[in-house]
Amino acid sequence: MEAAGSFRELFGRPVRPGGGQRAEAEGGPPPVLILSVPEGTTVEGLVRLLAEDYPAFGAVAYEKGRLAGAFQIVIGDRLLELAGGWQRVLVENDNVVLLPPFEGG
Amino acid sequence: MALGFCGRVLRVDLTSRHTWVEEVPDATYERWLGGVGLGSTILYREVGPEIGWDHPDNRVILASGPLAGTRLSGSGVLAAVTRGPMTGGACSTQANGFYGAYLKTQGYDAVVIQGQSPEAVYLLVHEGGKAELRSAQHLLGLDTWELGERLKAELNLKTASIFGIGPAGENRVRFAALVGDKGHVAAHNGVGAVLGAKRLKAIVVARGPGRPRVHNEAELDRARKALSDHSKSREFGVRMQAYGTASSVLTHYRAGSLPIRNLTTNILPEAENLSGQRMRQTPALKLKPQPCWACNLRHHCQTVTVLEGPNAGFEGEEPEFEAMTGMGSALGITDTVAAVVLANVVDRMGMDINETAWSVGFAIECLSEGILSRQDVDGLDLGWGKPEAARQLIERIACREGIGDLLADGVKEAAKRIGGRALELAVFTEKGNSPRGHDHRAVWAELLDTCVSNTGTIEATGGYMDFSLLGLPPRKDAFDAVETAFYNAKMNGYRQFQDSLGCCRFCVDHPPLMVDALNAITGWSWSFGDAMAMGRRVVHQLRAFNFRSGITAEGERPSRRYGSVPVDGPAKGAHFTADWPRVLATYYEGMGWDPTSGKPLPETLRALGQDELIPVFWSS
Repeated sequence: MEAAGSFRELFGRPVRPGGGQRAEAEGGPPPVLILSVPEGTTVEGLVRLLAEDYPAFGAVAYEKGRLAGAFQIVIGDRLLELAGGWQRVLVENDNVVLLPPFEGG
Repeated sequence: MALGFCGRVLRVDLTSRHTWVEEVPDATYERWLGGVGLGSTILYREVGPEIGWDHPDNRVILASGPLAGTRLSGSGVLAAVTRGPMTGGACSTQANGFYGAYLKTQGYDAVVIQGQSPEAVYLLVHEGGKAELRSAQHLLGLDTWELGERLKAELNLKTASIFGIGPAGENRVRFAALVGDKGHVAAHNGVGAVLGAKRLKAIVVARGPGRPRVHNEAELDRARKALSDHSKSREFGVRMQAYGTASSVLTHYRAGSLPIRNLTTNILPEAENLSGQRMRQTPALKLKPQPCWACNLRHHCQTVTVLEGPNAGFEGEEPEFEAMTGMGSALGITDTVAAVVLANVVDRMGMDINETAWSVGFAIECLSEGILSRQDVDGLDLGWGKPEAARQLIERIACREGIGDLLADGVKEAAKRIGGRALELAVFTEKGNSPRGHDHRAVWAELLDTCVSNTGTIEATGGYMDFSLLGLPPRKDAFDAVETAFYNAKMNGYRQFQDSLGCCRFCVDHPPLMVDALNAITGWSWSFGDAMAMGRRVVHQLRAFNFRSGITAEGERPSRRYGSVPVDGPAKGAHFTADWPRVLATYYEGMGWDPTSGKPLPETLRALGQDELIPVFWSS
């Protein structure tokens, strides 16, 4: 799983020792978090797991207990809505990219 | 006089070279606030349907707002309202900087410009509200950056807001912009062309002694701190402080919303070169903070100097996201420095970077498809990823030379004149405006908004919205066309309220706190519902202005390319316009409009206290 943006910003703290923050600041690729989840876990389930582990992420992901539309997810290079939606079941080697809230300007 | 306002506007008639002060009743502020609200009511009252964008009787209203000039972050915004040449209808466009704050120190809520000067002039507002029109003949031909520097030196003003037009405005390029305060741009719907037609080269507002009168300083300070915390702590704010708005380039790319090669693809592996992060890692670029009035996101706006290479010594501003995409990915350019320089060339010429990008990309594709010949494009070596040829074309557009003259009326007009397959390649709405520098085929809310807006740019979307304030759950599916239309309709009004306050959207974007700040300044007791109603009144007033000018729902659709289906990338196959009539009907119904004609229903207008608009829509 990748976070396009910064894990620190999205999760409130590094998600692994070193956090990859320096690499990002220097233009390196975003850090990758490799997760094992129970068989049958959906994208919605993954987000729930992450929200439990990282409350700062949960605050972005949920609004008043409901999944928020504030961030987007890309799975297998496709936007989640076009790739099966929240109920899509994750399979081995799925690459999930979390896109934090963004604007233009 | 209502607190938070000066109670008067400066009127300027360029034909007679006469200036005067007009008192504004409190009731006007209580109904319309400032910014686009105040501007739209003056525009509606004074510019009839027979007055075209370049007619001397057209008005340009340059307004501040009730929050302007306070310690609230970014409260120096300029809101420009006029009849614009791109759509022939209402124009509302904003720029940050210092204008709004300084204008209030001179004792005005807005400057209202009418008439047409026989020769180029500039307006100077200084010495406690004194207004002078001075010759600008010697300033003709200067670009917007040179204009600011020259006037500042000439007038020996240490603190002044200087906005003006570049060569594009002088030549009435229809998408000419109003640019000032080192790189801030009121870009949309050709406000610079209107000023060019009036021969007003610049507006200079010195910082004066006045200070805004505030009802409750302590409460304002509480709201200010909370707004500051919100803007600095939310995810986008954190990134923007460090890397500017172009920090989102890679995110947009991954979401399929980065505009690439005139929307012919969504694949550009080098996209990250256009990011704010990459700008900061490029040794050839030196950035220096250049914050707007009271800005708490101090590293968002920066000046940029090119230190090495063929453009060494070039000075400009750090381009925003849309500038880097417009002069980068949209043209297939991935060289960081080249995109930075090109973006500044457009600003200096004084043009809307969005329309410029769609026009140049269109010309490149027409050439590559054999629709235009090399001779048609004046022998320019146009192609994807060729910044020098793009620069030459941009300068030709600004001066209306050769192929530039064809493109200077906007991409829709150019495509119509070329005809045939050219119309299939051009990115525009049938109303005549074009989208921001995004690929909206993956951002359906903005695509719809760009088509149905009454302002010449987005009207309802962009930025933060807590839907629970509207009694709605969070959106479930950004690729559900009907849901998109419904939510757009429900949130419309909020942005118009925001643009009537005189504050930067990036700094002040939390609905309840914005209302708190307004109440602290004015002593009123507005609710969020009052704010939404005010914003929806603006929407309806602008729609009435357009409707009586013959601009109806018929033009509320995207061009073929703009509404096309992405052929690759993260949103491949997504087709928003598959059932466009249903999308429009849902939006219109959500707004309280007739689902077929898009005309506001009498009961909708009555509920907003706008009975006077009913005959405009329903007289026959």
